[in-house]
Amino acid sequence: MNPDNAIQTFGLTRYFSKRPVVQELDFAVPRGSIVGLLGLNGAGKSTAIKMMLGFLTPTRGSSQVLGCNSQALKPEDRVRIGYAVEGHFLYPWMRVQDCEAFGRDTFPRWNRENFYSIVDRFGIGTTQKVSWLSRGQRAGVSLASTISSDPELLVLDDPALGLDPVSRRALNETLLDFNDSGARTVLISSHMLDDIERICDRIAIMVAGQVLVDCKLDEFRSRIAAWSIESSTDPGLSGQIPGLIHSHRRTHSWLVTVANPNEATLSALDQLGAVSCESAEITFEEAVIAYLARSRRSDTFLTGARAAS
Amino acid sequence: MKALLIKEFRENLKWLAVGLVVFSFVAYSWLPAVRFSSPYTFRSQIDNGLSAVVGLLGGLFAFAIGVLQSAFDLRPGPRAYLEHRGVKSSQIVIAKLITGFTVYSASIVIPLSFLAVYLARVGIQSIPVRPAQVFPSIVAAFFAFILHPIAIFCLARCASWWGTKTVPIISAIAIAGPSFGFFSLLVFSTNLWIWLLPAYVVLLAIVCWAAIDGWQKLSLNPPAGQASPNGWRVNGVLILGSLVCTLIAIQFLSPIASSFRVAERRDYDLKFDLLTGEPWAVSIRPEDLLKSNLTENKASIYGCKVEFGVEPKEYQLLPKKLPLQQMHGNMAEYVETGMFKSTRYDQVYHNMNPLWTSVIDARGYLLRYSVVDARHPILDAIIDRDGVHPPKSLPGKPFRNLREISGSLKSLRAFYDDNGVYVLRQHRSNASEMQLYTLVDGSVLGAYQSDIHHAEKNRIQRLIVVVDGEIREYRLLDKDNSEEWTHGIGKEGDDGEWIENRVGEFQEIRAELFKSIAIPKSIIRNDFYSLLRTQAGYVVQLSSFNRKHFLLGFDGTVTELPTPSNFMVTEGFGDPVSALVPPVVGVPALLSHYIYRAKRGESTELVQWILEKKSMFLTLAGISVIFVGLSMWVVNRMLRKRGISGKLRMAWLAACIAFGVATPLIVACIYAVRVREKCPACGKPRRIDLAACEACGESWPKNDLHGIEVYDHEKNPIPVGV
Repeated sequence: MNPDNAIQTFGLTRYFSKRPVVQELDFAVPRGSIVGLLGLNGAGKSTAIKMMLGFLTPTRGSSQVLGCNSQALKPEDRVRIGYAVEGHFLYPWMRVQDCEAFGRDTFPRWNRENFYSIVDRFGIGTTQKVSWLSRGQRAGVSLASTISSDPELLVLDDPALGLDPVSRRALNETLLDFNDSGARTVLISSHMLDDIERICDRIAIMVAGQVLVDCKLDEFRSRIAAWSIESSTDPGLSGQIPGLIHSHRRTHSWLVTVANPNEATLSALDQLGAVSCESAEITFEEAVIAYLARSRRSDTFLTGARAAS
Repeated sequence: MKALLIKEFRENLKWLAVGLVVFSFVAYSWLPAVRFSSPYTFRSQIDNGLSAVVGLLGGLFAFAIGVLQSAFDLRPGPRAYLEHRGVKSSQIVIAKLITGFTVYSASIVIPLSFLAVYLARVGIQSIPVRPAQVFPSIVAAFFAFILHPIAIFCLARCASWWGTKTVPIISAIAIAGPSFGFFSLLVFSTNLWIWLLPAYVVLLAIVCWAAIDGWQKLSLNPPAGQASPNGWRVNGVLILGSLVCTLIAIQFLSPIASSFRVAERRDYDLKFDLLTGEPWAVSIRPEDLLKSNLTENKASIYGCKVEFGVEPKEYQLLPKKLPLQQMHGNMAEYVETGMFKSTRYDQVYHNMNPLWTSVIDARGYLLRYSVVDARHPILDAIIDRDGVHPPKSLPGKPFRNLREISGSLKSLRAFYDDNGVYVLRQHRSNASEMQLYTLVDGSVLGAYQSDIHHAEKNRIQRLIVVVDGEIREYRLLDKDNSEEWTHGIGKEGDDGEWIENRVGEFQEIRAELFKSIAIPKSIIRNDFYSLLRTQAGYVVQLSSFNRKHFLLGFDGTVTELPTPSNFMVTEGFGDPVSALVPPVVGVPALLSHYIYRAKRGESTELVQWILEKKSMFLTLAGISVIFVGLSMWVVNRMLRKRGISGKLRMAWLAACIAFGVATPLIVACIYAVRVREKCPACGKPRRIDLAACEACGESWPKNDLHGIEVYDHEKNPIPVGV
C-alpha cells in the first residue's frame, strides 16, 4: 500500500447473491485530502465504505485503511478512524451529554471541549434528549461524537441527507476546520454537489459499482467539456463521439458532454453534420450529473434521450 | 465496559418488568393453597411441575431477551455506531450476556423467592411443600438460560434466512434439548445433577464463546462462500445442534412409521398359576366388558399359556377355577432423599378415608393431613420410625427411603424402608388414633405381600422380604399365634358365604420367620420389580428393562419363565426408523447400555438378545448402510456445489459413517452455497469469490473502459480515442 494513501482498495468486489454491487474497485484516498464520493442511490458508495471499514466482507479483493487490513481492524485501529453512519444513528434514549459520556468511555483520545463546541455550532442544548432532536441537530451530535474522538481519518456516509441550509453550512465549516492542518483526511459520500465542490480536493464518481472518475477537482473540471449542437436527432445516438458522457436536449439544441476531449472529438463533432456546433460552458454540477445519468441508459431522467453506449 | 453495561441495562431493563409479570403469575398459579380444590388434586408436585413450566417459559424468555438484545444492535447503523469504537466485540457480547442474565435471573428468582417465603411462612402445617422444593425450578431456569447466547449466536450469523440463519436457529434451539434432558435426570436423581451441572456449565460456556465468535467473525451480511464460520466452537455448536435436530425429527417420524404397521394390539394381564408358577396371558374381551355390570370375577376370562418359542394364539376361554393370581409389584420408585425432592402423595390411604390424606415427605417422615376443608388441609400427625407424633415439630429418626408395599397387608397400610418393615394401624372408630408396628427390624431391600393359595387357607397373607442375597417369608401372627385375622371388613368366600373377619381391639401383631431361601447370584438384584408366592416357589420379575421372570423354587432351583413379548407391538428398537439414528449417537448409546448391563452381570443376556434378534439387527444394519450411502451421495453433491476441496470433501464423506443422515444438515449449517458465474475467459462456471478461475486459471478482467474515465493516477491510464 502506498503510505501516502489513507485508504486504498485493490479490486474490491461485492456481490449480493448473484448481483454485483461493487466491481473491481481500485480507489485511493490520499492522506490530508478531502475526497467526495459521488454516485446515485444504489451505485455502491455505502457498500464500498462498509467494506473499507470492515463492516462487510468483500466477495473478492481487499482494502486497507491507515495501513491496516480492513477486515482485521482492531479497536485501537478503529479509534483512529471516525465514522458517521448513514442516517446519523444515535441511541434515542440518550441525552446529548450522555452521548458525550458514552464517547468519552469508549474512545481513548476524547476531546470534550471539541464535542461541546461542535454541538454549540449546531445550536443544540446538552440536556436535550436525542429523540427530541431534529435531523439536522442529530447530524450535529453525530458529527461531534465522531470528530471528538480525534481521528486521523474521517469517513462520512451521506452526512448532509435531509439537512437544512444552515446545518449544511455548519457541517461544511466543521469539516474544513477538521482538515485545516492538512494532516487529517476526510472521505465524504454525498448527493450535495455544491457542498462537495466547496469543500473537497478530490472527487470520485461511482456508476453502477464502478469508479469512472477519481481525480482532483480542478483536473475533473479541466477534462470535461461540452458542446451545444443544433440537430434534429440526438447526436449521442450516432455513437461516433469518443469520450461522450451524455447528451441531453435543451430548448433548441443538444448539450453534449465529453470527457478527455481531443482532436478526435472535434473531428467527430464536425462529421455529425449538425446545423451548428458551439463549445458550451458546463458547471461542475452538470458534469457530475452527466456521469450519473449514464447509469440510467435506456431512458434518462433528464431528457429522455438515449445515452451512448 | 462500564459504558457498554450501562447502555445494555438502560436498553433492556424494561424486559425485567415483563419477566416479573410472567413469572409472578407462574409462581402465584402454583401456590398449593390456591390450586387445591379437592383432595383429589392434592398433589402440587412443585419441584417437578413448577420446574417444567419455569424451564419452558424461562427458555422462551431467555431466547426472546437474546433476540431483542441482538437484533437491534445488528442493524447496519446501530452496529457501526456501537462497534466502531475502542471496544472489542467480545466486550459487547459479554455485556449483553451479563445484562441478559441479570434481567433473566431477577425475573425468575424474585417471584420464586416470594413463593419460597410464602411456603416457609405457611409451613408444612397446612401445605405439604417445603420452600427448598422451589430450588429445582431455579436450577431449571439456569439450564434454560442457554437459549440466550444461542439467540445472540444465531442472529450474529445472518446472511440469508435459509442456509445460514434458519438452520442454525433450529439446530441451536435443539441444543436446549440436552439441557432439559439433563434437568429431567436431575429431578429424578439427586446425585446425577452434581455431575451434570459442571457438564452443563461447560456447554453453556462453549455456546457463549460461540456467540462471541459469531459476533466477531460473522459479518452482518457476509458474502456467499465466506459465511462458513471459523473455529471449532461455532462448528461444534452447529454440529451438536444438527445432531439433536435429526434425533428430534426421527422421534417425530417414528410414530408415523409405526402407525403403518398392521398388528393386533390387545391388552393383557400377566397372571401366574399359583400351583405351578406358570405364566398366563389373560384378557377380558372388550365386547364382554361392554355388557352391563360385569366385574372381573363374573366376566368370561380369555387367555393363553405363555410358552417358550410358541407364538401366541387366539385367546381361549379359561376355566374360572384356574388358580391364577396377578403379581404384586412393590411399586418401588427410586426416590432418593434430599431437600429438593418432592413429597409423594398417597392416594390409597385417601381412598380408605377421604377425610385424611398422607404424604411421604422426602426427609423421611410420613405426614398425615386432615382435609375436611379441601382448601385448608391441616397437618394431623407426623409418623416416623419411633411412632406417631402430634404435628408440632419434626421428631427424630425419620424413615430412610420409605416406600409403600403395594396392596394392603391384611387391609393395613404397610411400608418398608432401608431399616425395616412397618405397618400402620388406624382405630376403626377413631381414625385419628393410629399405631405404628415394626414387623421386621433390619436391612430390607424389598418387601411384598402375597396371598396363600386358597386351597390352603383363605384370608392368609404372608410378608415376603428381600434382604441381601435372601428371600424371607414371614407369617403374620396375632396374640393368639393365628394367621387368620384381618383388619379389614369381611369378604365373600369362594362358596358365596360371607366370612367375618377376626377383628379385635388394638392387639399386638408380629412377624415370624417362616422360611428363607438364598437368591442365586445369577439373578441377584437390589430390588425385584415384583414377587409372587406360589406353591412351586417364588415368581420374581426383574427390575431390568426386559423384565424377565424367574421361578425360585423352595429348594433353591432357578427356572426362567417365558415372557410374553409379542402380544403388544411396541418394539421401539425394532422400528426401522431407529436405523436413521446417527451412528455417532446410536453406537455409544448401545455400548453404554452394554457396559451398564455388564456391570450388573448381564452381559451374556445382551449378546443372547442380539443373537435372538439377529434378523432385526441385520435389517437395521442394512437400512442404516443404505441411508449412510444416500447421505454420502447428497453430501458429495452439496459439497461440490459449495466448492469444498477434495480432501475436505473426502473427510466429510467419511463423516457420513459417523453422522449418518445428520451429515447433510450439518453441511448445510456450516457451509454456505458458493455463487458461480460464467468465466469470461473459458466460459465455464467459476466461483465469484476466487481471484482465479478454477478451470483456466485466468483472473477476473478489469472493468470495461468506456472512454470517459477520468483518473489522475497511473494505475488506470486514461484511454484516448475510443
